[in-house]
Amino acid sequence: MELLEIRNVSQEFGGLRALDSVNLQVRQEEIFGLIGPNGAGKTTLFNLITGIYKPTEGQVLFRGRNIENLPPHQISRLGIGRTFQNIRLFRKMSVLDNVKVGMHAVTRAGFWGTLREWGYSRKEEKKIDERARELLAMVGLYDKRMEYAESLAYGEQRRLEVARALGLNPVLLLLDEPAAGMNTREKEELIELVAGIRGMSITVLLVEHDMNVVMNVCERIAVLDYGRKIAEGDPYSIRNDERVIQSYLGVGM
Amino acid sequence: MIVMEQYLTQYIDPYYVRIAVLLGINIVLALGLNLITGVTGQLSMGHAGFMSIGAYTAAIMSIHAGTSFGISLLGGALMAAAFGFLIGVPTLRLEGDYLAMVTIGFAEIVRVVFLNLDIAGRAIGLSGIPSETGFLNVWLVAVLVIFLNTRLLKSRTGRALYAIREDEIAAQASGINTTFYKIFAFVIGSFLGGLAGGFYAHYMTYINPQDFGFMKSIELLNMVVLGGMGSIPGTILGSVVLTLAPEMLRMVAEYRLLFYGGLLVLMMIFRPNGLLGDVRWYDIRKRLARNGVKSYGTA
Repeated sequence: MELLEIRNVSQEFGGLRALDSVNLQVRQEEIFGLIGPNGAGKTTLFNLITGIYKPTEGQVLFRGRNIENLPPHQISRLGIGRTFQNIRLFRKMSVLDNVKVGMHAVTRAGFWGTLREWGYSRKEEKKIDERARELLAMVGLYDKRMEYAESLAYGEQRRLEVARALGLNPVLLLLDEPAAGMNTREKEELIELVAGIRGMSITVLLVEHDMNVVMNVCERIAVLDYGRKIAEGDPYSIRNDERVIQSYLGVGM
Repeated sequence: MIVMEQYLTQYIDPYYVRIAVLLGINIVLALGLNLITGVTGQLSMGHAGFMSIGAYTAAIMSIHAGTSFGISLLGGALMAAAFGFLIGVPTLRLEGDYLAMVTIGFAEIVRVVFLNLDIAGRAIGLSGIPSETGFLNVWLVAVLVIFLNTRLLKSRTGRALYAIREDEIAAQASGINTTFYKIFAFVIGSFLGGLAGGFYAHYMTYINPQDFGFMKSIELLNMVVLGGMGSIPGTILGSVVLTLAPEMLRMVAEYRLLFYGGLLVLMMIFRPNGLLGDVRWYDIRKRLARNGVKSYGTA
């Protein structure tokens, strides 16, 4: 069954057509890769799904429900978590607090409750704390939980973004170039982490330039070029697709 | 309480009691502004406007409706909060400099309205406000505000506010309704501003629109910036320094603004995050441990 369906979506910025009638189906519990040259519209598509942009045309359906007109915070509440290409952490907050903020959508203690800090809020705060620590342990940042997020190394910041996105118990996780700027060892750890996320029965939509990572973890891949989808299929067929080789992979891959 | 108050004024130099009262009022004001600007990151340069709404509302209630002190305070605070809501809703789309401009404009409008309002005594000001504010009631409220503020900032709500300051898009992606929380910060911040205004009016027993001008807003903003944006101990420290500084600089009163300006420039160069803006107990402990100083047995 399709978890996410992009139906005929176009996005224009002024005269620029960043996405041109793109169709995409992401099935439950698969790892779907999205590749293409810079400026192909991959991040634009992410921003459409998460409600930062409203599509000029077309529909975005999540579990059969139209979400293209919902504000970002409501979309995340449906269980869509994401990371950002250009890392957006809460820099002057502790690593632990970053993950706790990620759990905002799945918790509900309000103003009066938090002022009293007993009963429900207190129990909830304890749960948040435990869960946030679990997630940090999972991405290997537990020992750094009290540091400011900005003091982390680059690869660590990327992992923290993943942990924060996992905080909202996502059904669908969008990862925007998670391997960018990572060294070989960090990339291997990332592949492991994505596999682990898949084991939590979370569907993953992955934008990535590193072919090694993409070919290793994705079950299906779509290729965007100049806002159009030029190919879709399993890693093997994408690697051998004439048009993909021409526009993106290059000869000799 | 009245007995204790009398005891205080009898055995302690009234000059010091006066400074202490003004400090308590300033702390409540600055903590309110800290919530808006320091924590949530919405630059407000018109906090004195909320203070004056609270001050005038409470004073008019006390004089004309004869309400008790507590009710007048609450009325002033609620009125300020209502205006905080009104100004918060349309300005949420604005950021940084633009929001600052609107808040300056708002505070100026408020000042001019009181300058022309009959019931507010026009330019003559409002006198004959019952003297109700004292060291004890101010500090009781100030301590309560500090306590609740600390609670709030450590909670889910507080984390959401900090997250908005740090990165609004990431906050939204985490499920935070940024519009709601920005209005929330504005409402609570202006409530505290109004509350402090009520205390101020019932301490001075005479208020005048000039008490709540642009310079007052800047002074309050300075307290938050000097101490450290978003930090409660920092904001309190900023309030202490900037409440005491004018007293100590009394002999060079004309140069006070020069001092403020110089202070801000120095801060921007040496501690852009404020004195305590990014200092946490955790870091202090860690540093002590690194230097081989035993601390709390955790080293």
